[in-house]
Amino acid sequence: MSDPNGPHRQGLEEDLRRVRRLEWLNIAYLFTSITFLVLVMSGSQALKTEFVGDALGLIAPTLFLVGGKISARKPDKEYPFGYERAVAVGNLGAALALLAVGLYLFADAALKLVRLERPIIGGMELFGHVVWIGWLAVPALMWCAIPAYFFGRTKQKLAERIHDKVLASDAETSAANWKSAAAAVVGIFGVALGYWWADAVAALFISLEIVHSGWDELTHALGDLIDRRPRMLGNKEVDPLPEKLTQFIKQQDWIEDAVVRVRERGRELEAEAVIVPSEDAGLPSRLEALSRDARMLDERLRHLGIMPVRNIPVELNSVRAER
Amino acid sequence: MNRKRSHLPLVGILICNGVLTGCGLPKDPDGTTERILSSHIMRVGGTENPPWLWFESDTPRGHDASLVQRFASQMHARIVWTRGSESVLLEKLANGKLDVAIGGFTSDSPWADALGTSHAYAGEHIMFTAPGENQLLLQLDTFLAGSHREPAT
Repeated sequence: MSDPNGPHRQGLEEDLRRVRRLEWLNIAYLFTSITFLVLVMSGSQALKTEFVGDALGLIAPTLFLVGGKISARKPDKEYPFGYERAVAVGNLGAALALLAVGLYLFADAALKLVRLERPIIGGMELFGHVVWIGWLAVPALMWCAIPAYFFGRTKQKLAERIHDKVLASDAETSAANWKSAAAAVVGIFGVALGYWWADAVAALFISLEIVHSGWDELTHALGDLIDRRPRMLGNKEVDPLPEKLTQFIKQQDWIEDAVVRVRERGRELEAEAVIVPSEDAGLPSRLEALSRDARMLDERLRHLGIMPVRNIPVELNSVRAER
Repeated sequence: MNRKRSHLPLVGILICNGVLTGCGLPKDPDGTTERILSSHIMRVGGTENPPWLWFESDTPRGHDASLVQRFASQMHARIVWTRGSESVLLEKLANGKLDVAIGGFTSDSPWADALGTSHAYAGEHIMFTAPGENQLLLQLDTFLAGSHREPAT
């Protein structure tokens, strides 16, 4: 007999292994791009911002790997609901870091513009030739952009398969990285043409990207921690499952009324139903069957707790998913 | 085979560098390099700091003095000197009133972030250039790298 909590999606373990491999690869790649950026950073604000952005990019894959380990722990006496929330806590911290650093970099770049501070970029000796460091930054930035784009795309696909929002927003950030690297390239060419302000303007743009992904992560993490109703991947649309589940439960001829609450727990969903049964006979086996059948509605629905009552508690009336 | 391939990106960078530098890029926002090349005048600030720089009745002497002389003559320019204390000179440099400042400065100078800092020579010694005038800085860096390889006669 398999997991009493319900069906575990086939191939999930295999997908998770792939994601973990990908995240390790991503971390290794980020170290190379960070190293390149350090070598060519020089006096450019845009490159400094891109460097910090890339360094912050290490957080998401690391959290995924570490958080995956922690959240996989079985519930115990001390943490009877399991460790899934550890990931949300980690994400909250990461989101605040992203947001704070993004805002700092924005202010830093804005200050450079206001004070008319010009980027100072000199030459670097490379095998007997002195090369303007700005030119060296261009291949370094391409290395920051192109692999990141493909990492993002692959992660996005896997995130959809395993319903992982953390991975999905990480993927979005990676995929958007080409924008900030491209902005930095434009900034460098601007400086090369004598438009000193292009550098700081590019830095402003990049820092806004960092702030944007920080804000995104923050709403995710807070939503998770406050048990907001489930959202679809991408965080925009609401998940239709609560309505579907309510309808399904109310359709049972032995149930008069029901209120269903669904919340996200990592990659999975957890539901709680308060029902008013019309008859008490054979209730335990009916509840068991209902819980099992309901979980067939959605492969993410891992747990459905059902509480039979005589009357729906008044405080739950404001929860009713359907109008 | 492997060695050849690993050199390809480098060769590409050097070719691009040659082409772009040939077009006069990077440009100085204030056009310092072009001005030096057309007016044949380089404005150098010097602060006395033997043995790097001292003045013998208005004639600059010392290691930095001869180095910057050679740099100027390579750009077909003569030097108009401004003497002064470090803080006065570097303030002028920051405001674009000078092109280069010398006087045994080192790379750990508190001004190193605010001004153009050349390649280090003779250990940690550097010259300062007007901030943001990246072509001038590149010219100076190229000159210093060359002088490093062929020591002064």
